Amino acid sequence: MILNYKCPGCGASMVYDAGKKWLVCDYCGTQVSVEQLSGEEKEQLEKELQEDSFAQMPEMETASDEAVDDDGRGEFRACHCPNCGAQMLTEETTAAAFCAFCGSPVIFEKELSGEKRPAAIIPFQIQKEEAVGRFLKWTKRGMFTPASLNRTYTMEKITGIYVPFWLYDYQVNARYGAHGTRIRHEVRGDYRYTHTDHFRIQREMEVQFEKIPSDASKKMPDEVMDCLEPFDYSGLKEFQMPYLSGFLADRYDYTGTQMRGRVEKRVEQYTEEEARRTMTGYATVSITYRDVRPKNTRMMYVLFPVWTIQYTYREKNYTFTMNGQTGKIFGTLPVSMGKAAAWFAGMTATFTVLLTIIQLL
Amino acid sequence: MKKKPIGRIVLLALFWMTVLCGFSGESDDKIIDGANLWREEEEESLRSLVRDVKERIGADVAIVTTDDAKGRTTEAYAQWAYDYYQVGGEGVAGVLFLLDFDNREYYIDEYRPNGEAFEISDWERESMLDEIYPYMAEGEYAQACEVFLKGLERVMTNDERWEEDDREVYIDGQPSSKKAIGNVIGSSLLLSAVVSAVLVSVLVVMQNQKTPPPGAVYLKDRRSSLRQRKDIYTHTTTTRTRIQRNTPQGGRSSGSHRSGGSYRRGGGGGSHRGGGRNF
Ligand SMILES: [Zn+2]
Ligand SMILES: [Zn+2]
Repeated sequence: MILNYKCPGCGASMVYDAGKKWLVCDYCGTQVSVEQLSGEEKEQLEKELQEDSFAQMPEMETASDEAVDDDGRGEFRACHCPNCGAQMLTEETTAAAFCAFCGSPVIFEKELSGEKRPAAIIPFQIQKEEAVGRFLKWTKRGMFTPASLNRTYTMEKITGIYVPFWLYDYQVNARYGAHGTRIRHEVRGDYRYTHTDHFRIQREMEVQFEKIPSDASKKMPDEVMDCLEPFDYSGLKEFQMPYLSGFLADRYDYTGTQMRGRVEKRVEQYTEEEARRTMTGYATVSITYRDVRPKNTRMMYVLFPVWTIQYTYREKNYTFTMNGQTGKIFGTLPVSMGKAAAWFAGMTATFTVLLTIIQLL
Repeated sequence: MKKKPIGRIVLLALFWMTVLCGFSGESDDKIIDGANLWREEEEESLRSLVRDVKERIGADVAIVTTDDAKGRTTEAYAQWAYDYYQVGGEGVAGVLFLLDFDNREYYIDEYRPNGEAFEISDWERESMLDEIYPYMAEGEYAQACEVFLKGLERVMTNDERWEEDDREVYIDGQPSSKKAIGNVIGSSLLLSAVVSAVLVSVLVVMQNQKTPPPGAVYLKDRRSSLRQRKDIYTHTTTTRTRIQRNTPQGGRSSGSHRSGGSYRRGGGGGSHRGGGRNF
């Protein structure tokens, strides 16, 4: 079933407003709380199921019927817009999108129920206007950013997307062996003695990690998503579909078990960081033995908000990505060779003058 | 017709000057051995070395030893001895090397008449003292004097080896030649360019840096529990290096006292400057 939240006042589509934290109708200004809508949505679902369990079938043709393989980029799904009835073609993993014809927000309930239903969501905290504002501010940042950037870039696309993540809890039992040294100096007669004391270091520890996130979407590059961390977990809400209205959303491509390997690497690294923190007072420490046993104690499927802005500058594409909750930014700014050269020349001149003066004194 | 007599007079004058200088050199060599340190052959060899060096540097040179500084500091004694033994003489620059066994200090004193600029910079004097130190410490006093004379000649004649080092071509902050300034600026420029290139590339990389958060963010209750902690001492390894006392750094950290760069107006309108070190 495809959901589209209609305004109780005028019948237009309603979207989630990150500032007001309610669903808002852009036409008449009516506001409805998420809780109220999802309550209605449940009732409606139950009613429809009672009336005719196949009622939604004509509206949504199954993926296998009209699957389109587009260069192996995944399966596509065809359906009709609940607002204008036009045919929509979306990727199979899309959970929320817009109708290409009338622009209405649509939510694919099927991709968000059963085992695909997220346990929790962090709703967008940063509105579109604010995201654009932060992007503009960011383009003026950086020593080597071309001065022409904020005048001549073209913003191709701004997207607010809920990205699927798995959150993992781990309990780790670990044992480390390490070799540590301390160094003492002594001057006796005409000789300088360097004494190196060697130590065998042993640590046995139990570490518990909570909610380590791992991006479960194929589309989003893992390194980029890692750099948007941390999300503030105090903003985690029980998942409700109306939050997605007005945004894009993907469901997971990888299951929680599939992502475990990647997370366990992080867990091992974090545990070692913790262990090293306890090996203090040494000049050098090298870990020679490690026995790390991570146990996955909990796994949780969640959706996190991310803004992406695609822009082109001098015919090159750049992507700006921002944590939709905290505003943390990941992006690549173009580097102006002219500015870099100017900085280089300036620094060289300054250092030369300083060095010359120092030597003349 | 006119040229001939002038040429003759000049030649004659030169001849007599050489003869006189030779004689006066013989009797004027200032090897004053108050501490009765030198054996005859040592004194003879020092004398001829001093004579050579004097000629090459165009200043008087004296080597003085004493075991009784008459209650004076080494510096004061050096300057007193300079006047007393008439080193240099009227209007001529001179350098005196003093081995003071009373104060256990050796000292280099340079005299310049009438506001002439000193030729031995503080840095040069310190490196000379550094080079001499090992011989003084070992009791090889004759060799110490030879090293002093070699160093003096090198400093006063601006030997090429010293020009390679930027610090050497400046005497009392005065550039000795335009080429030297060029060298200093050139080397500064090169170094600055390298440093700036590294800095700029680091900053370019930093502009687009990626920073994943530290693991501690996901630590439950922000702490880990340590079950066992053992730090067992196993053994010690030791390496030793000989302290290089003849380098400026080594010499200075060896704990020896030095008194450097003191000035005094001399009686004849000249001034002294020198420095010494304990041995
Ligand atoms: Zn409305
Ligand atoms: Zn539509």
